[in-house]
Amino acid sequence: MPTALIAEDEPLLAAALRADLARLWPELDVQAVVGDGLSAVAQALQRRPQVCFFDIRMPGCSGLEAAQALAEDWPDGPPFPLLVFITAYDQYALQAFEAQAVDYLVKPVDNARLQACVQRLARRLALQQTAPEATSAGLDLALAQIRSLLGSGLPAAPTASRLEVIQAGVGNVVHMVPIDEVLYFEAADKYLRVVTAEREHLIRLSLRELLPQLDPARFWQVHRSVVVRASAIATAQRDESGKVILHLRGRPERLTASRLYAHLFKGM
Amino acid sequence: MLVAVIAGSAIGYSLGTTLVDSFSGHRSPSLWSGRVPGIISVLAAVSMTYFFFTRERLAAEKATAEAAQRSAVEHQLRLLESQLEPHMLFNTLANLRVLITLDPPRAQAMLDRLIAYLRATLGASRSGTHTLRAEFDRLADYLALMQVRMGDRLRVQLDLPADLAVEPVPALLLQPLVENAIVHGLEPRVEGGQLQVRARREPGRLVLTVRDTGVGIDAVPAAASVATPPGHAGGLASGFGTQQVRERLAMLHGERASLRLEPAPDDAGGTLATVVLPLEA
Repeated sequence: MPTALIAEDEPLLAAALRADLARLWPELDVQAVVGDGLSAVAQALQRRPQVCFFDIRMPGCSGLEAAQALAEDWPDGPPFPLLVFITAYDQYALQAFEAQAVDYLVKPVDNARLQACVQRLARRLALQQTAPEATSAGLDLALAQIRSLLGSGLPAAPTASRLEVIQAGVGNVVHMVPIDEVLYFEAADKYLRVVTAEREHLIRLSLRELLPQLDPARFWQVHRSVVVRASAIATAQRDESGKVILHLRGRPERLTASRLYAHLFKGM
Repeated sequence: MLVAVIAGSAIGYSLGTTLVDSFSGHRSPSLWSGRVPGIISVLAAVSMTYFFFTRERLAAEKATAEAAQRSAVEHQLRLLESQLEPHMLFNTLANLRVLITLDPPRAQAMLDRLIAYLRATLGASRSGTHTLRAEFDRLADYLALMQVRMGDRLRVQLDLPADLAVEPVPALLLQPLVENAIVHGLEPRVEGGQLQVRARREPGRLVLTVRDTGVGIDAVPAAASVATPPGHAGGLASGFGTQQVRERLAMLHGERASLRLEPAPDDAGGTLATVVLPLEA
């Protein structure tokens, strides 16, 4: 019996999608309906549904961020869920979805569109059953799609607005940290840890706000919560689950590059 | 410019006569000895200068006017975009579509609210004034639509003392502040929260407050330089909304009116927006 999870913050729309799916795809078992992005990730990791319907705009984290977290934390073995994104209006995202094979629904969702989506999902699930080798290919495809969708949402930052110095305030002192001394940034709750060889600072900025201000050639995102200065990485070692362990110059701790970013580390 | 005209005619005349004299063999009177040719030369120079000067000035004026018109059109577009947020509209329609089969009377009530909201937003009413009662009624329409969408994540309290109901206020002045409170305060918060809109009288002035218990003004990116991705619920639109309110207040009342945005001063957190308007005695 195929299984699914619905993440939609508007209660009426969530209930309606569930009812429509029950009518169009009676065999589908909707394991859970959640109203925010964080619960979506937690529930999906716990229940491992075969299909996830993710609204794009949700409290907690967006549907895209939820998909990213899911791709990074998904265990080895069970097939990665088929993702369907739902959005009311987001012309940029729509263009990205068109370009990618990920299915998407536009609210209000009409019956014909939902039926076509259901048929496509059922075909893909059937393929997974008959050809197990399609499972790992499915994960690779999903990774490529999520990567590309994440990239498409970011504005191309003008080089002029690049950050050269991080200003980290502690009490009434502001530490001026030159960007080239930063080894890595790590998101921690509402803060961002700025780690240099000697010490670390906390700044009130999200990784999403920081990223457009960094030179992408010098600073690489390697995980949804970590951005590393490429020249600070000494070695990158791939483990069997597809993750990559990074050893740094000047710091003892190791960082993990998730599956989404493991492709960055290849020998020349 | 006068100096240039005089110098130009003198140089032009001298150069011209020297050039012509050199192959005609005739000796023309110099600019300073023979008056008539000199005056003709100066007159010609003055009229040409005047011609080119006016043409330049007309072109510059035309360019300025065109630029002003362009920016006015852009402003109108942005205003319209901020008034009719497509994301809000399509989500509302999606809810309406569900309610039509699920609960027809509620669907009809929601449609009535949507119609009233659209009529107010699309009408030119934003330029005029209406009563505080009308202002609160329009906010109630919008908030009712949002309540259908957000369910119990949005709790609303509108507080308008009866003796202030007929006070005139700029039409839909509070709308952008209420939208900000929802889109940037309450929607991003998983638990949702409360929204209060209040009016009160103080000596010589009318104080209107919009308060939410959302994620708070702190969570809005502090770095103003950070670009918002296109199509993203972002700081840009909210900045435009509050800028609109400030501009309208300044235009209508100058220094006597104000808008203040600050973290709400109690434990429930969130943001407090305070509008002060002069109250005619």
